[in-house]
Amino acid sequence: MFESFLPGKGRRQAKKNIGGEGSGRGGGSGQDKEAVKPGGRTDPEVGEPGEKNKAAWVRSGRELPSGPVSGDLADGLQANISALKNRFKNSADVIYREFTVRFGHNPKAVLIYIDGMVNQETTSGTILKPLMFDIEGRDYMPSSGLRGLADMADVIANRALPNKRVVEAKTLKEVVDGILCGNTALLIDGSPTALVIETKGWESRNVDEPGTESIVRGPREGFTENIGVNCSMLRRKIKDEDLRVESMELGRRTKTSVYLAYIDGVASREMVDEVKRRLNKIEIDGVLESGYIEQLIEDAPRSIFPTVGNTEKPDVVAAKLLEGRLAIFVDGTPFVLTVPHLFIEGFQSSEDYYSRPYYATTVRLVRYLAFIIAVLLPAGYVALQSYNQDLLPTSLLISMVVSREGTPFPSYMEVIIMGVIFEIMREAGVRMPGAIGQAFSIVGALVLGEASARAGLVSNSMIVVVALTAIGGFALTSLADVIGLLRLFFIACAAPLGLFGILMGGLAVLIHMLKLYSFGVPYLLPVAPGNLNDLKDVFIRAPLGSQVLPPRILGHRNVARTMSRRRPPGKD
Amino acid sequence: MPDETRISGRQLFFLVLCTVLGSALYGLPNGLIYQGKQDAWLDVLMGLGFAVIIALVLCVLGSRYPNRTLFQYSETIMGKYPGKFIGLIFVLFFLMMAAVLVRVEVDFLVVALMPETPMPIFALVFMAVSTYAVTSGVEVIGRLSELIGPLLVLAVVGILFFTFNIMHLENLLPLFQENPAEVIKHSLLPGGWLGFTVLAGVWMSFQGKSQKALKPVLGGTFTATLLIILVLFQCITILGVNVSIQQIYPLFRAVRMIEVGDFFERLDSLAGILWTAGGFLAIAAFHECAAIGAAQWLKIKGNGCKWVAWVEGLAILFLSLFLFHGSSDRWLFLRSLFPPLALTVEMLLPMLLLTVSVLRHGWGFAGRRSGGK
Amino acid sequence: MAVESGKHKGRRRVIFLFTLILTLALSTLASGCWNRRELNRIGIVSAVGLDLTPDHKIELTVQIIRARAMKMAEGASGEGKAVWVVSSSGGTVFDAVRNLVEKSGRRLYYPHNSLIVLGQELAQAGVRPVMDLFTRDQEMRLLAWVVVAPGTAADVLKADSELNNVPSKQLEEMLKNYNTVSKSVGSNLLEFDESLLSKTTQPVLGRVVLDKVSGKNELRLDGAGVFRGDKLIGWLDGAESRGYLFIKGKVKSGSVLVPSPGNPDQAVTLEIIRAGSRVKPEWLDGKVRFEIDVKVEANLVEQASAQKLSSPDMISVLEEELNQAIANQIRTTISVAQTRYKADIFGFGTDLMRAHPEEWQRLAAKWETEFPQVETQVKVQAKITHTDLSQ
Repeated sequence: MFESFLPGKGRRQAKKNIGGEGSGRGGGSGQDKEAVKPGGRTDPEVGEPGEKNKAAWVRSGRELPSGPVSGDLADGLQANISALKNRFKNSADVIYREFTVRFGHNPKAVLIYIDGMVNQETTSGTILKPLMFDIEGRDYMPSSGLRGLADMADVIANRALPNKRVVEAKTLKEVVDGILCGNTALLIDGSPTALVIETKGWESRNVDEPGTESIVRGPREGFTENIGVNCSMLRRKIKDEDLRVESMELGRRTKTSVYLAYIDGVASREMVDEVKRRLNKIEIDGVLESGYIEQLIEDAPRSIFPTVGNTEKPDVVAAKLLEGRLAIFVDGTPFVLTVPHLFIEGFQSSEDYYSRPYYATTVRLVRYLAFIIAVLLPAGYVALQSYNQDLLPTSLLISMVVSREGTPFPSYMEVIIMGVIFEIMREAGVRMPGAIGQAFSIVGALVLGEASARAGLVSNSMIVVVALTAIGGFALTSLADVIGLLRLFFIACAAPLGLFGILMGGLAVLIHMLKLYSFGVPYLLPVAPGNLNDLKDVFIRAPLGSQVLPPRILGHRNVARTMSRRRPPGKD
Repeated sequence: MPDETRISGRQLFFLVLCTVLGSALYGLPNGLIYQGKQDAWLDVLMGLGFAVIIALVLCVLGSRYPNRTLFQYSETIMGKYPGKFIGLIFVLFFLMMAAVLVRVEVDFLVVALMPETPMPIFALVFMAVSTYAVTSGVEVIGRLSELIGPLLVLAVVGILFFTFNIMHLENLLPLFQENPAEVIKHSLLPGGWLGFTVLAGVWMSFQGKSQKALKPVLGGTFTATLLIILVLFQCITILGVNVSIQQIYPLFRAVRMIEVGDFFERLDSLAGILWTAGGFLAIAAFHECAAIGAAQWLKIKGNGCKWVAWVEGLAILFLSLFLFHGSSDRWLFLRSLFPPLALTVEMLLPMLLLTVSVLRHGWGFAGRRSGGK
Repeated sequence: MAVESGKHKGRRRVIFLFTLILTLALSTLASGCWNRRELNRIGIVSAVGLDLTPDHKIELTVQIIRARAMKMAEGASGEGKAVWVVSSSGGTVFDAVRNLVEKSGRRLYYPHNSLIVLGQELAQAGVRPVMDLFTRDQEMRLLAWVVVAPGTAADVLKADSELNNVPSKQLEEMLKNYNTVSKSVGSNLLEFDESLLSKTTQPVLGRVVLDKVSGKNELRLDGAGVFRGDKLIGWLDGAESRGYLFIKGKVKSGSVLVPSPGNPDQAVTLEIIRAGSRVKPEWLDGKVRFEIDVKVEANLVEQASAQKLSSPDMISVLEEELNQAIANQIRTTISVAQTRYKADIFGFGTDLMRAHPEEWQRLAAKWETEFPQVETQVKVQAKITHTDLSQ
């Protein structure tokens, strides 16, 4: 999160855009219109990777192991249609539109597409209309004359179809894959090649403010479920030809598009290769969310700490790319993965960089405090209640004794019981529709908390502790799962051994974290192994001007050194 | 192993610092003040002399045999069997010191913090976490020291901050009451303790460029010495010489005197627990070195190191429990047997190695081996 | 999903660690947790009193905080006292501590104990046997105040307090602020222990007196008890205590009454706001002399006469009177220590040892006989800075 805010590349570019007769802004809004068409109909191909990837969009990422669709297309239209109908057995949503081409010897042709996945206007206006009406009056014949039917597809593709992308398909599999992606296949009687025409267009959500990462200052747009839109949002942030977006398809059956984005020259080559290697190793039938990918490529699948980050916000992804990280877009989810992911990223928020450094530093320190409270407070409470009462000031101890008097459970049981009740309440509250949720939280807070203390089930101080812990946990949503597990772990440590247990448990957790790597980068990096320059962005947020050097975090040296030793997941 | 994993200079500094200081906070002050009264700091300064000699000898050896550990070059220098013998002495010494430190820690915890908890539990917890750390590799211990080291220094210096108002500087008077013979005699104990620097002979080989090790190793030793002297000053100025001798853990008792704003009192258990982190690091450092040594001694590679760490963890656990009969036994050991034993292994053995090495290869050897890239 | 096989090692280790933690946690919880003491199962001791029973056993009295009573007091009617005072006896202090559990049932918890009261009889018989536990046991804190009572310690602990529902807290506050009045001595366990261990310095402890006022027992700090070795040998009254505090440099505040320069029957009150002292051992022709320099800063806070006292002349007269008053107090205390008690309560021996270690070697053995003869010279420099808001 350093580099994007330097007075260097990013900012200079922004200035140029503003100064350059509004081209930057105008262009941007133009793209906006293109990306988000009125009525929520979006064009998925905006921001498609560069020309060199042109073939990749039809070609599947790799060969399917046992594809029932194989073999080339036949010459005869009916043979092809029946072969396809055989493939799409019992699929009512596959449409076969037969018609006659006003062209050459007026061959029969058929358009095949899946209802709802194609843009109807495109299909009728740019495919059917030219082929059925417009083509006749034009000078369509090449000067050399039409040489056989194979040429016909070429002529149609080059001269009759104004669609963005038209690809010739020679095998049945290419046609099937194309149709499944939302494209339209055009088969012409007598021609051995089919044309797969770009017509994708389906209903999807508008660009909206993300629900998980709300901020006060900063861009409000969040990713959508549409990978093309998501990618375009990133392109609009980083207008650099070095931004690479490599595409692949994952999931034997879902054939989900996955894009790997990075900035060439900023991200280290080794890391890009490593990520690609891990992605290519994935063998799975379906990828429904980026979480699948995350779990299959992370370094330590059994650790409670996440070594792959995710975000819903394009500005965050852009900042991470500028730092040398890589982003993995997965179609169908607004959550974009970023790797490598370090522990401290959980404490950084994009807003830290948008607001001034003093406030940002305070807020960041508060976040660390919240983490410590959320993780250690219940365990510390158990230790102080049951083992190390001497640490409490006498007056506080007396009031604690007063509140504890007459409660039946030992303190660790109290903490666990209240913790479980709180988790149930939280889970119920999250799943509940908004209106009921409010009422529910009032019931939960007032009735359970107040009444259980009054009834003498738990002590008053316990309720304060649970409430504080919960609030602390809410301050760091991205680390919520880690916090919950660590909290339990530390309670288990404190219950038999008090503060000593917490210390030794803490050391064990620390050792575990020191052992972790995320794509060859030590998980606790700017702290240990330490680097004073990078520490400017850990506990404090130094003014942007002073963060001159790019973070060493993703330095090539580390990667080169440690990559070979790491056992990547997903290889077996 | 040495070429794959690395320890940075800062990590080496903190490793040396924590190994010496972490174990010294409650093991040392009482013994020192018992010997030297208010002049104990002189003994420590004198002891620093030993430590500096050790550090220099090791650094010379390290630059003559870059990327080799103490165990490896002793075989190179002395030949196979004598070298193996010396390596074995080092391994056993490290094992034993780890056990002694575990015992010192456990005794402290049992006596000062949790008297009803059985000793083996503490020892077991220490060794379980220590084994986990050791099996995670040298880098992890290096990084751990980098995290704990500053905290430990803060914990020691922080006491100073809170105790300004209860310090009686006049307790340090009269100065220079010891005669030189006494100082030398009394400096053996702190010398042996500061001589834990000998572990640097193992760490150095992981540092990439062994020539650069001198600064962090000496720096760590100096800082540790300064902080130990600071601890002695704190004990004497807060408690006075007599009470410091009476109390087995004078620093712990001194922290007990802290009052912050009429509210925070009795911070001793918190401080005691914090020091335990430093003590743990010292234990893990010895454990790690013993494990590396044993692995190299037995020529075990790869995953075998982990196996060695487990076995040694168990060995340290049992050794620590059965090494001493009770705390009086431990004090007798630390005051009588420990100083000569420690200094023999820590100082005389490396000096012997250096002498033989010079006799065999001459002085210029170092320049040729490591001067060029 | 697809990643399942292999990695047996990692999984085994995770399982092993989890088992280890679970076993540890469960076994400890099941076995009753060695050191665990729940707050509602312990009794917090706020003060300890030690007396000698007629059959020369040690009687231990403790003040235990009654949480139940406090909880009720929080609600409506203040039923019962907030503390429970209970005694037990035994051959040693520890024996008595253990015997106490038979009465209390709950485990007693001492770290928050802030007060140790010694009964007169016990103090006269010697306190070393009973003080050992307090410096040895890990639950005891060296910060606890130690005082001596002319009667029994049990009576002191049973006295009432109006301001604080825990009576010992009030006494603790009195001791904390002893040097704002500077008529008694507040000495904590560490200082007491230090002087007990010292071969020359004799301990001085504050004295707590019990006054019967309209049926209620009120506590008052007044003067100090002087020890030789570990035995109480006598008392210092309020003025003598202040002399002692001046020498030790422990006066923080306090009032001094001097006769008004114009009419001597009326008093002028001067409030000490700052005081410092320095004891300098001088070696003169084989004899030692202690120079005691005291610097005092005071304010004029009250006067009975109508005279205007704020002129420089008057102030210097007052300063001179203050000098005399304080010097007299100090001299009285010194002579009391030298002649009446023959006890080096000021730590002169230690000062001498620090300043002249070689000469000290000759005197060390016979310091007890030497101390009553040593010469002292008292110099007081008082400075009156303000006369507050009136002239």
